[in-house]
Parts: sequence; C-alpha cells; structure tokens
Amino acid sequence: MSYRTGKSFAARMDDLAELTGIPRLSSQLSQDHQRRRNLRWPSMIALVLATIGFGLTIIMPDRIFIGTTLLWIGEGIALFLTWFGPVKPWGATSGVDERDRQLRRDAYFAALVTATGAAIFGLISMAGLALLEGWNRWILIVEMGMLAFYLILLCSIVPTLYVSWTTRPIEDE
Amino acid sequence: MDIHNRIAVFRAERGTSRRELADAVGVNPQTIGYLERGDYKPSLELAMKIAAYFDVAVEHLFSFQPFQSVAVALRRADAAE
Repeated sequence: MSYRTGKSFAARMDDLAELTGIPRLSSQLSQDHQRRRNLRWPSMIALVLATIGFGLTIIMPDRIFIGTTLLWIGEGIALFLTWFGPVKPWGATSGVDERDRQLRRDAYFAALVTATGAAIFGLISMAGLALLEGWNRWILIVEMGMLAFYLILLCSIVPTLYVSWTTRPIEDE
Repeated sequence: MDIHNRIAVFRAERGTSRRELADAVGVNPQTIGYLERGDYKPSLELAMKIAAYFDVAVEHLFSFQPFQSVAVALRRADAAE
C-alpha cells in the first residue's frame, strides 16, 4: 500500500486503466447504451479492402504482406462496425428488443450465406490455382489461412453491411 | 402483406412520446419509430401490449387495409349526423 495516496498497488493500476477510458467504453458496449447507426460506407470500404487484400494474397503469394495489411485494415474497421453498427452483438442482453433480435437473425443469416458461398468458391479456386501455378505445400497452407481470415472478416462485416443497406435510419423525435 | 397502423395518431392524441410508449411496452424508442413508419411488423405480443397501453382493441390499431385519414373520418361523421 502507498503511504502517500493510501491506495494499494492494485487500486492504483485500476485508476491507470480507468484513465485510458477503455473500461468505461467496455461497460457502455456491454450494456449497449450508445446510439447505433447505419454504417453503409464504412462497411462497404471494409469489405472492399478485405476482398482486394485477399485477392492480392492469391495473385502475389510471394508478396503476401501487401494483401495481409489490407486484410488487417479491414479487420480494424470491422471491429468498429460491431461496436457502433446497427447489429447488436449476440452477447448483449440489455437494450435488445424483438426488432433487434429479428434484425440480428436476418443479418447473420445473410453473413452465413455469403461466407458459405465464398468458402466454396475459395476452396475450388485455390485447388485450381495450386495446380495451375504449381504452389508448394507452404504457399497452400498460408493461402488457406488467408481464406479462413477472409471468411471470419465476412462474418464480421456482412451483418452490418446487410442491415445498413436494407434499413433506413429513424430520426429522433 | 403490409400491416398498416395508426400508433402515431393515438400517440399524438395522448401526447405520449415514443420513449414513453417504448418504455411502457418494453422496446427501444427506435422500434416504435420503425413501427409507425411501417418498416417493421410487430409480434402479436407487442401489438397486444401497444393496444392494451392505449386501451383499445388490436384491430383499432393495426389493419391489413389502410386506415382512413382523420379528415375523411370527420367528414363521414358529419355526413352521418
């Protein structure tokens, strides 16, 4: 315990964490108090970046870092989409009503259909490219990893994209 | 099939805000807005809760046919008298 402040080391570490603002944001997000908005263009940009990034990893497997960087930028945007977008997370319990639940079901169904289609297309394309381009085992493993990353990104981005483009925002009274 | 409603009319008549109605029936204020705009079809439970809040039958609030405007209803009432 510090003699100057009277606080224990753990309490002082808690104060430091509070200063970052992250615990407050985390609390707001878990209780879902912040206003959610339609994020049409951010979700579109994230999808385009992720798709171009994945495409580049396939076209240029020897310079995979370019495509990977774009995929990670898409991932960064996707994180904000889940925090501030119109689809409330599965874990959220407070502030979720019947419309939110219906919207979430529709949005994740659209994401599931998209990701399934992308997975089938990706696997067939990858097998074909491996034969045509003569990819070795290492490249194939890395490309499979990139495909898995891209599919996870689709599951994060498509729900927001779908809801943002199929609903019109409602104005406050 | 479209479901028409006149929640906004009842709300205006009572002077109730979206938030007050939403809190009373246990949904978000935005959901009331989407309902009024016809962008969302409520569950039977929510429809009955809203009807109970305004103390009217569900069919007075929701209909498959568009509701008459207040002006038309008043004109008809005048003609009937």
